Amino acid sequence: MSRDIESGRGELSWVTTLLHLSDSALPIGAYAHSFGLEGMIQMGMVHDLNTFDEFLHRDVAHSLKMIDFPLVSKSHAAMMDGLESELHRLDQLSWALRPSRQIREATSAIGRQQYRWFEKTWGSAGGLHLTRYQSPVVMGVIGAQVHIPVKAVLVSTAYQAYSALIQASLKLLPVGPRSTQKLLHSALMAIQPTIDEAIDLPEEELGSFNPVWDIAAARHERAPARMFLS
Amino acid sequence: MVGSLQSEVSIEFRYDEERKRTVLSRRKAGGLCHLGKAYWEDPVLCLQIVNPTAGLFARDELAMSIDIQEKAKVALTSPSACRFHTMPDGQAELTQSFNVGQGAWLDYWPETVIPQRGSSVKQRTIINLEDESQMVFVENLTPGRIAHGENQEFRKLDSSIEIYHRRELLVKERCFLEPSAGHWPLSVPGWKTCHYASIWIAGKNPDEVLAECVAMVEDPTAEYLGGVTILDSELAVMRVVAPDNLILRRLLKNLRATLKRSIPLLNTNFRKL
Repeated sequence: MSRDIESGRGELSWVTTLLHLSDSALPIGAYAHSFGLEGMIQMGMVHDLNTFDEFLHRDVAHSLKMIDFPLVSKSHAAMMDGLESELHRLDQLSWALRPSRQIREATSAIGRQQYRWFEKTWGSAGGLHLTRYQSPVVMGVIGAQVHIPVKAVLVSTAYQAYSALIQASLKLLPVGPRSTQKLLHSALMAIQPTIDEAIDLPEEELGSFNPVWDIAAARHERAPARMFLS
Repeated sequence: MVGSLQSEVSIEFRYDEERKRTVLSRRKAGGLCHLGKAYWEDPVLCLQIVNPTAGLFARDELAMSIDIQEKAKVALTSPSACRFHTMPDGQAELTQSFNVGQGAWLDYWPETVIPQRGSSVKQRTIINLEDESQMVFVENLTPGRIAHGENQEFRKLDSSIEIYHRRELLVKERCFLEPSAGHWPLSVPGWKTCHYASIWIAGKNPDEVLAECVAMVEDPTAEYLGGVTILDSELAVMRVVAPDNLILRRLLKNLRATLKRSIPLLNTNFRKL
């Protein structure tokens, strides 16, 4: 396992990689998932711009802070230190922290595609083999391999999460691109102060409790009609 | 600590090959935890875990370890709600660990947990499942003494559950509630109170076992909201929120009756009044 990858020359070479990885044009399949948003809409919990705004700023932000950010950060550090067994442990931990089958599988499907494209496009110098390929662990690994500062990887993680939900909302809710872009901007501004806290979060404090979202994601598995895989 | 109790409880069950029955093979209890008289509802050994102070006070600490050895079959319950009493400062801590041995069975169906006004609670639950073990494990939370007009008036509830299969982590969930910062996430728009329960089901073919329960839990016309998800090949969870404890209790009773049809080991009488 090596973390040396060809990502260009110059002190900002990692920026090109980060932009590439964050772009919704990267075919990782995120467009097929709503991560429980469709279930929340089917249950009537999210039904307009205001309730969607609240969902992003409260529920999604909390999940990022308590699950995804710490996992990305710990995986980035483990990769920098060459601790492959720690990456396997974090991969399983990420799986265990997901509250429903669809969310577990969606996070793995996206992570697997992220790593596949990373290997194909940037070339792997060591090849990493995980069991679950949970996306936060993959993002941490790639970030370390391309020497992307961990805080920048976390901002990209937030951007990818919010952007995917906003793309889904355009198909599911009576919202337009102008209002959702404002929402994306405000959500990204609001999440940044939590990054430092999330990086230092002790592992025993990881995890979230959001029964309504968990129930919505579970019910989505058997929804009579659905547009998204999760 | 003056006025507080620190108790370590250790209970061990094994299957007695000669008697062809599960027996309580070792017990170390007292202080915050007493045990009722065990009785058989063959092939299951049933036991009530009793808290003599009807709950925990500030700086009380209870560490409970339950080992159900290979092939043993055990049903555990409590006679009444577990309260975290009003405490002006400090916190109460409850740590409980369960080991369910190979081919063993655990039915853990306690009464609800009630964190009362001003209480601060740290609770940690760790479950390890060995191969071919089976389990039904219930968690149930009432957000205060509702009849006294309390609703989420505790200071803090920090409760986590970890479920392992042969020491591999399958589930980690952390419920952290600090109502002074707002009632979310234990709230549903339009409801005055929100009561929560989860039922963890471990064993083979959870989709078949839960087939009848799904329609009940996810009934779109029900007064409660519920969802069922198969988290791993041999682990599922049913989560429910309800606006009233009676609605939740009725649902849990009906779910147990339904589950008995696919899990006959649940066919025990807890002998509660």
